[in-house]
This record gives sequence, structure tokens and C-alpha cells, in this order.
Amino acid sequence: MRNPYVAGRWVSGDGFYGRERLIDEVLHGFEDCFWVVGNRRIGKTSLLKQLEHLTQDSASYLSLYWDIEGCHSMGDLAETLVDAVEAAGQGLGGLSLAGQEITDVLHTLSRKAAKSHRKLLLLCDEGEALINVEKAQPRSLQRLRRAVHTDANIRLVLTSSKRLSLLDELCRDWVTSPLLHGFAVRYLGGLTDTAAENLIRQTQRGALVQASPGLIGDIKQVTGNHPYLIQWLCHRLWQEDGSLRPIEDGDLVVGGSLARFFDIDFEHLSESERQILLLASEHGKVSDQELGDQLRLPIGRVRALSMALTELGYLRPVAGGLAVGNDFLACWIGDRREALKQRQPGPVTDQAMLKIVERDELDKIKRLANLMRQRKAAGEPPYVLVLGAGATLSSGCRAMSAVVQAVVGDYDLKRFFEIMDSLSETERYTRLQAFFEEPYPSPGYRYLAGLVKVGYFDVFLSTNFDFLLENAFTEVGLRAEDVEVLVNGRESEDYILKALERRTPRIKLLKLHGDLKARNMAFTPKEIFEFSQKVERVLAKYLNGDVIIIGHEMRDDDINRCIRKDGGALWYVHPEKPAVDSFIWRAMQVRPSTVISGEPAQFDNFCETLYQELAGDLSS
Amino acid sequence: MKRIERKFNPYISGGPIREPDMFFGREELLKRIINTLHNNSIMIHGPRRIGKTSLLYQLADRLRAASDPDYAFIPALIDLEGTLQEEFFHTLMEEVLEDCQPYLTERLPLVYNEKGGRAYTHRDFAHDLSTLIGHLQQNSDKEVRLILLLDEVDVMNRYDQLVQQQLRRIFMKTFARNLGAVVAGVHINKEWDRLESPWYNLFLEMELSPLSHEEAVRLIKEPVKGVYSYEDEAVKAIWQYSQGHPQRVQQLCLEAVNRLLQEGRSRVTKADVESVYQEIVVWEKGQEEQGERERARPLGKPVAEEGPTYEAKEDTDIWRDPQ
Repeated sequence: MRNPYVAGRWVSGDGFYGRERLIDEVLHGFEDCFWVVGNRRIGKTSLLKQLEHLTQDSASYLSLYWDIEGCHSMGDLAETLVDAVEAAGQGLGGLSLAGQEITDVLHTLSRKAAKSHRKLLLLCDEGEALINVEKAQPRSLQRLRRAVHTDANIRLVLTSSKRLSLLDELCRDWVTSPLLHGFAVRYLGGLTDTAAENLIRQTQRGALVQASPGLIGDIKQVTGNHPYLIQWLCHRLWQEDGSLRPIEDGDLVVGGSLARFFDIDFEHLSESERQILLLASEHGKVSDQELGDQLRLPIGRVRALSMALTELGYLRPVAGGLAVGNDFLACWIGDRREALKQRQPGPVTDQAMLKIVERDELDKIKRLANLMRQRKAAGEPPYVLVLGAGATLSSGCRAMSAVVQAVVGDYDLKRFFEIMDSLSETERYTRLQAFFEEPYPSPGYRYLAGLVKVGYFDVFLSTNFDFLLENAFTEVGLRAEDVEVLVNGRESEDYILKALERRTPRIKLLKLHGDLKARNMAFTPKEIFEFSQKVERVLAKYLNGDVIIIGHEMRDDDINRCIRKDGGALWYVHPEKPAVDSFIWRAMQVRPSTVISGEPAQFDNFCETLYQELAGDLSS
Repeated sequence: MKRIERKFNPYISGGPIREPDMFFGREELLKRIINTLHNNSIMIHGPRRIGKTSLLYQLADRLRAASDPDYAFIPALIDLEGTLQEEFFHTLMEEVLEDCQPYLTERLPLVYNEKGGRAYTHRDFAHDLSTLIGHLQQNSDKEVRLILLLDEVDVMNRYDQLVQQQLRRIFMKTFARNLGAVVAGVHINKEWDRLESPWYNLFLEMELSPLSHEEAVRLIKEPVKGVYSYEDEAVKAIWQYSQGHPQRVQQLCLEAVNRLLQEGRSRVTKADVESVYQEIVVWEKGQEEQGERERARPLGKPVAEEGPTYEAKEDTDIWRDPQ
């Protein structure tokens, strides 16, 4: 039996594992320009090779792997593209492209693809070379940008390290948008658990590699699911009988090229990113809050930077915070932490990274908007929207923790529940009224109501007691008869079930924990754990479809019980990413999920961006 | 006895081992490489005279003889020593074609036939390699793996990084599915100031270490089995002085057997080993001093030199007395 692991070349076909979602997006999504950012050896070339492999005989795409390593001019770019055409075959042999400008080559290829009703899929590797080109021939890339963005028959996937963010800086004096504007940013980090296990066991090859679940867990742990590190380590552990031996201390020694790659990856970090990584190394794990305190940076900025570091595999979420992304990197940093602290700043700035992060989050909202548009056009039911206290917060209502503090004098939930349990409905109402009676919905509610009005949302599940959403409906011109407001505990469960089943009115708002007017507010565990089986069944039906959760931390067991493993997509919109091992985090490991976090995930920001994305369709 | 009369001395010092029956040790490593080469390229590094070139020769032999059910390995051994950057790709193709000659059934339309030396670029090399691999694959019912065995790859440390990138790009091409490489060198420079991926990142790195004690003993005894013998103390002394460095083992054995031949004996003693070791140390010191004088001499004045029966190359950095 041969050693099946590949650590000394790119992989494709049955040697390629994971990245299904990204591949699906590239081949079937809305975007035409992708910038895939990843560290050394994370599998950028392999991703492109896999896309090339998957589209080899495609009726939809004419794909070309285009390696621009070493390019310094537009002429070089053209030359390498012609090389790619020659190497690809694909019936392109008859094209006479040599000596043409890059824009002409692209145009010819695009037309050639269009003739066979296909799209030109350019798989551009080593994107950092574009920096060389722009430096040598300032503003020359404008032509490339124009050629790519104006031709609807070209789809481009560009891979590089985060160093390409320097290009934004170089394009600063362009009259037009910088090259990377309009590119959907995708991070290439570790594999999912399933893909990592499949890679370790080599499930796509003939004979499975034998490894105990414990050893597979160890490999995933030390490598942080980094595909190259898995291949590298498993290559060492592989034995001729087709099994993997246990990991020994010597296997984790970082030397040679591996050390050099980590060095390059560290060099690509901005100053604050380096400090975050070093703190995670020093303390074993750190929370965003601790990082903010230590680095004296605003929490929003820390969250954005740590999120990007996590996506790229420098960090990984662990219970209670963030740790260094894998044991190899942790060893490498641990061995030279003091020297790394003294390192001169690298070329990548905090600002450049924050721009990428923001662009990425905004891009996710754009993607969601596209999906919403597509559903609507296809006549599919819209996303179910779960609203939590985070939404109310933006209108000035206090978050639950602040309410507890105000009532008890301390954040003592047990005492708070005792107090609430001891109050009658009216007593409770008078005690809490001031916290929730806010008459004016924030702009986010109005944008949301605007989207509801034209049919982008129908069903709302809310745990809020306030009337902000109802008021926003009124503000956008929806009448009382357009909306069915159902209050759990006020209406009978049979009524709720029937009302949800009825086609009219289209818009339904189910207030799961009661509301202020009904003087029925479920606060305590005893109360919120009491959905009847019938209500639970109908909630499960909604929550197992495609759901957007806004400003809700999903800590209520009554709702969580209704979320099943095999449900539809989950979009989790919250300034903070879900904590590791929280319920929602676990649900997101098994259901197709997207987290939108940071500033763009603030309720008002999110609703406004979503509204703007769909603004063109709102009149229809 | 006849072999003693013929002054039989099979040890080789100063040059690579080309004969499989004189190559001892490295079995595990060779197996590991061969088990890996179908889907990896490999970078072997290790100090001078550790046996990198010999390993590449053995690897070429084993790959040619491999009866893999799925893959047809075609090795091309290329010594890069002295190769100029400007002629790099031409040299590569020249050597590749020479080693592939037995597999070619027709004259291929190669750019190599039209362009010489410096005019031959990386693009020409890529074109020709693609044509060549296509042809090799056409004539094989197994999946072809053309394996470039590049020796003395340290030469590339002096090349412009652009040339290194051009080599890397060859391995990124789709036809590189049928291409592999084993590159060997002492110290492959990992400094990289380009923005793109470093050229060495496509290789799986392996270190060539000294022989294990068991492998060293085999190298000492097997070549002369049935002709000469070693006292246990002599074997110990060789191990002690060589620390498993194969060239040193060969050197000590070669000189010890020469000594036997001069004195008409057939058993190597500890005293033989110690004596030849001292001679080697003295000679090496002389070489070192002469080298220094040489470096200090004005250019163009050759120095006559008569060395012992073995060859020794320029460097002495890894040869130290055992502590």
C-alpha cells in the first residue's frame, strides 16, 4: 500500500477534501469575482485545481487555471494567460493569442466561451504578483479591472495571501474603484470537522486508512484541521499496513520549511493582529474583551481582527475564548515569543485588514440579499426571522442583563427569577414597564418593516416584549389587518396554530415570551420552558426551515428544543460570534450556517445594508 | 583467496555509489520515498558526503525497476553542479531527454531541437515537457510519472528568484500531475523576498541523516563478506570515528583493506582502523592548509598535488574528531 497523503504538491479530484460550500458558491452563486484569501499551504492552488477539475467537461464553464507567479507587467499577465490557454487544450488550440494585450486575450476567450454557451471561469493563482504589476506600471490594472467587471461572461477566482490587501493602498489614487472592490472576499482556513476526518481516513480513495477515533481527534486537535498540516502529519504517521501510528512528541517539532511558512504567515500580520496572536500564545486562551483591555483597542476593532485571524486559522475558538490555531503554530510562537514581540511591523496594516473584514461581512449580507431575491422570484417562502433583545437594544430598550441589574442591583439571575416568580402579572408589568415601553423604533426596524411590506419576510418569531416592530409596520404603511400578532400565553395554542396555518394575513408575528400589553412576560426558566407540545411542533416546523436570527443569543431552552439537526440554513446575525459549545454554535456545526458579526451585524446596520441591497427591487 | 590476490577492495570513497550491491542502508528511507513519489515531490537535505547523490542513483535504479501496478516511473537524473542560470531549463531538458530516450518511439516536435542554450526559456521547457509527458503517457498503459532527480540543487540558491519561480510554475501546470521531483542539496536557501509563494513550498522535506549503527555495520561488513573480516573492536572504532557518515565509513574501510592488502592479512584490527584514521586526519589537515595557501595564491598558478588513494572533495566542515 502506498502512502496516500500529499504534502508535496497540489491536490485535486479524489485527493481533494472539503470546501464544498465555497466551491458551490463559485460554480453556482451570484458573484462573478472572488478573492480567496489564505495563508501559505492552506490549499489555495488545490482549490483552483479542484475547480478546474470539476469544470473539465462542463456545459456551463470554460475554465482556465492561470498562474501569474513572477508577473511584473501587463505583458507578463497576457503571456501567462496565453500559456494557460495552451496548457488547457479544451479546443482552444486554434486561437491566435500570442502578442495580444491582456484585455484582448480576455475578450477573445470570453467570446469563445460564449459561443458554446459557457462562461469563462478564470482561476488565477498567486495574486500577489498583481502588486508587482501595479508597482511597475501604475494604474495599468484599471484595464484589467474594467475587462473583468464589465464582461458578464467572465467569472474570476483570485487567490492570494492577505498581503494582496496592499493593492488597495497602491490603487488609492485611481479615479475608478480599487481593483479588489467588487470582489467577494472568502477566507480559506481550516477544514470542517467532517472534511478533516474524511481526509485523515482517506474516504475518497479505495482503502480507508485505519485510525482510532481518539487518534483522529488528536490529529484534528494538533493541526486545527489545517489541510496541509493534516497531510504532513499523517504522512509521518502512516504505516505500511495502512494504519496510522499514535502521535509522538518528535512529530510535533517544527523545523525546516514549516517554520519558514509560519514565519511568512506571521510577517503578513498587522501590528494589532500580531499582538492578539502573541497574547493568545502567552495566556493559552483569551477573550475579545480581555484582548480589548490588554491592547486598549475598541472592542469592535478587536472582534473584527480576531474574527479574521480565526477565519484564516491563526486562531481557533475554544471554550471561553480564542487560542492559537494549531499546536504546531503554538509551538513555533512559544519558542520565539520574545523575538516576535520585537519584530518590525510588516507591510500589512490594521486598517487594511479591517477593510477586508468589513468587506467580507458586507459581502455576506449581499449574498443573503441575493438569496432572498432569488427565493422571492421563485415563489419560495421567505426566511423565517427570529428576533431577540439585540434588536430592541438598538431602539434604546435595555438588554436583559441591564434589566436584571436594575431590578436586583447585581447580575444575579437566580435572585431575579425569584423576584419575578413572586410577582403577579400586574405587579410584574408595573415593575418592568419602564424598561420596554419605547415608542420609537430605531431605523433598523423601519428598514425591516420596509422589506416585510414588499414580501421579503412573512413570519417573525420574537422573544421581545415591546411593540417596536408593530410600530415600524405602521410607520411603513402596513395596516393592523395586514399583520397577525400572536402572543404566546395570551392566545390559546389552538388559535396560534390555526392563525399560523392561515394564508392571510401574510405577515405573522409570534411573540414567544408574551408582551407588555398582554402583561404576560415569560422571564423565568419555569415560564420559558413551558411551550406545549403542539406549539413546539409548529415552532420546529418554522425553525427547521431557513432561518435568520437577529440579535438573539439562542439561550432559551424552549426555543432551542425546537431546532433540529437536519434543518435548513441558519444565518446568525450578532455583533459577537457565538461562543464555542453554546447551543447555537453546535447547531451551526451541523446545519448550513453563516455568521455575520462585528459592526455590520449591529441590528440597525444590518437591516439598513440588507435594505439597500434589495432597494432596487422594493418598488416591484 | 583469489580475490585477495586480485587486491579486492570494493569500498568507494570520494564518489557516489552507483552499484546497487555496494549501497547499504537507507532501505527505510528509499521505501518511504518510493511509497510517496506517486503523489508528492520531495526535497532531501543533509550535510555534504552524507550520501545524497548515492541515494538519488539508487532511487533512479529502483524506480526504473519498480513494478508498480498503477504507475510507470521514469526517472531522469540531473546533476545541476555548475549549471548556469541562463542555461538552466536547457540543461534540464537535455538530461531529461537523455534519460527518456529508451521510452521514445519517435522524434518529438520539441522546441529543444530548434533552440540552443540560452535561447531556450522556461516556456519552451514547459511546452516540451508537456509534449514529452503526453508521448510517454500515450505509450504506457499505466499512469506515467516522470521523476526529475535534481542533484546539487544548492546551485539554485545563486539563481535569480524569478528563475526559481519559473521552475515552480512548471509544477503548477496541469500536466504536472504526471511530473514529480526529488531535489537534493546541502542547504536550500529559504530566504524569500518575493511576494508570491516560495519555490520550495511544493516539496515535502526529508532530512538525510547519518546511517544507523546497524546500517553502518552492514556497510562495513557486507561488501567484503567471505573475503575479509573485522574484529569487533575494529567495527566499534569505525563507528566511533564515522558516527554513521557513510562516506567516512567507506573511507576508513577502504584504507584499512588497503593496509591488509599491503601486509597480506585478511582481518581488520582496531589498530588498523586507528592507524588509517590518523593518516586520514593528517592528510585532511594538509589538504586544508594547502587549500588555504591556494586561496591566497595569485590566480593562474596551478599547484601540483599528489593525494592518497582516495579522493576528497573541497569541504571538511562535517568531518570532526568524535568527541
